[in-house]
Amino acid sequence: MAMRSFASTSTLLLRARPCTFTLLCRHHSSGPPPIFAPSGSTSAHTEIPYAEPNLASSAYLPPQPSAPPPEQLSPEATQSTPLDLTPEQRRLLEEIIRVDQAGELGANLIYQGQHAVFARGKDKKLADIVQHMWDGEKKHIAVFDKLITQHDVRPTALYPLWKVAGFALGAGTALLGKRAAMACTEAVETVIGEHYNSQVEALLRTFPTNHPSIPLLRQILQEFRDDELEHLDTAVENESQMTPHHALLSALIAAGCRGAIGVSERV
Amino acid sequence: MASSVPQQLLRLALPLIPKSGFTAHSLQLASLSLPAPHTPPAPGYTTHTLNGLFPSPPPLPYTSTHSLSREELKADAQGSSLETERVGPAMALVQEWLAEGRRDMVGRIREVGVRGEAGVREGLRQRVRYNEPVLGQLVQALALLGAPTTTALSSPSALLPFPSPAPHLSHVARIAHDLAKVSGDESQGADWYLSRARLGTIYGLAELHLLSPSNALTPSERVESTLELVDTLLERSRSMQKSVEGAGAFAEWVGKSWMGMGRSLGL
Repeated sequence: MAMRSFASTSTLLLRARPCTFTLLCRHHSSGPPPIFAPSGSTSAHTEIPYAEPNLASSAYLPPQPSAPPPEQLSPEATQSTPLDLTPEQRRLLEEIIRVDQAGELGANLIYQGQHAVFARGKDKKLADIVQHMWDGEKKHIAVFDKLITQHDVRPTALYPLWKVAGFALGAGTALLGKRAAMACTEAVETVIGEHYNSQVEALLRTFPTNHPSIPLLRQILQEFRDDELEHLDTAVENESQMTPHHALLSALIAAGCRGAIGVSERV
Repeated sequence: MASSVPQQLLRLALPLIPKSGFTAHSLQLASLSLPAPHTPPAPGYTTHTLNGLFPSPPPLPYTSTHSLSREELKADAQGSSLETERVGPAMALVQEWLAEGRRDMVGRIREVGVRGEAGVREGLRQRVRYNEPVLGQLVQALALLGAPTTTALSSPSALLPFPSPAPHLSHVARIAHDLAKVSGDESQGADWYLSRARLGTIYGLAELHLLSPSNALTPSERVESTLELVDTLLERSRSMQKSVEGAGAFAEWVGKSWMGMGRSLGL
């Protein structure tokens, strides 16, 4: 109970950062597991989920064949990039998209590594929990693959490195046990959630809103931030804080994530 | 959108390059065609005006070996120093000519309406043909690309005993990126770099072939021979890519087979 209240408090604190009006609704996609399109794959070699109604990210995902037609956005919002940005705004936009794609790649590989270990164990429920969180990350990377092409952003040159590092971190912490794996999730999702938050703030502060792709990007970042915070809650609910040396492990993983963010923004 | 006087001047000088070369003289002649009120009296903008519009550091021996004496400073201010011509105006003209070459290449691919490998081929051929009218001055243009743009004090690369390869690599990389983008390449991660490296290598080799001295051939014959080389390189690199992909798929199959065998043995 104490742990749950800590998670809720930390989550609320994190959410309280951006600006008051973004607190009014959650944008995440909790609910049934996503349904995946029969073809196509992301840059993390994962499936591409179908669009879910009423979520900003759906603008970049294939619609379900049986679903009602989605709300139409202007093609400008999903197919073009603003051309009137200052060099500083352009740099910021590129950094945001490059580092977020790299982060989502890392998250996918972490969950893949954890799932590879837990799927071979006896605790199938645990494997399902990790699978559920991984499925959420598949949507994120699918959307950033589209955004990076739309805004003509160079992906990080360290793509192969993050793949190996992500898988190794996920599998390594899973081998240490359920609690260590959840502590890893908690630390990673905390850093990613904070990072999305600061990006939403930066977009609000720095960018004009006359190009429809920018408000859409901001909504997507808010949606993904809330998804990540839901994963954080899941990790805490699954005893992440009962792992031995929790504070040290969390601090190490969080420092590694922050380092990777700093490098991926530039390289 | 109205362009600045230097920009207008560069655009007006482009048609003069085949006759007057990548020189300040081309810009001087072009200045006579500037719209009023910018039209200067004949014979056009002076060297000092052009140096002011397209600034560049004085030649290296002048700045790096000793401090300027009082007389040298006065001569420099009066424009009567003995230094050789500054490269700023000519370099700006080369950069504009290269940018126009990329616009021409992109325009051609869009005009023909082909994407994928066919678009790449069309774009590469167009870019090679773009060199033909200035084939005699191409070596000069590429040499100018490597000229220092800063003084040794502001950039350590100016101290290198040989011209920095960075401007040439950047020139080829820009062509490769524009080609990939306009032909619909949506590669992600490491593939993004590989596809551009492939296209950059092909264009770089084609340009080297174009520059290699061959007195027996006319410019159009040299271009035709280079176009044949482009086709060969495209074909070879594609078959090499297929072999690598085949090797990757084979390695994956081998790995999965071993995993299957391991599972069947209860591991």
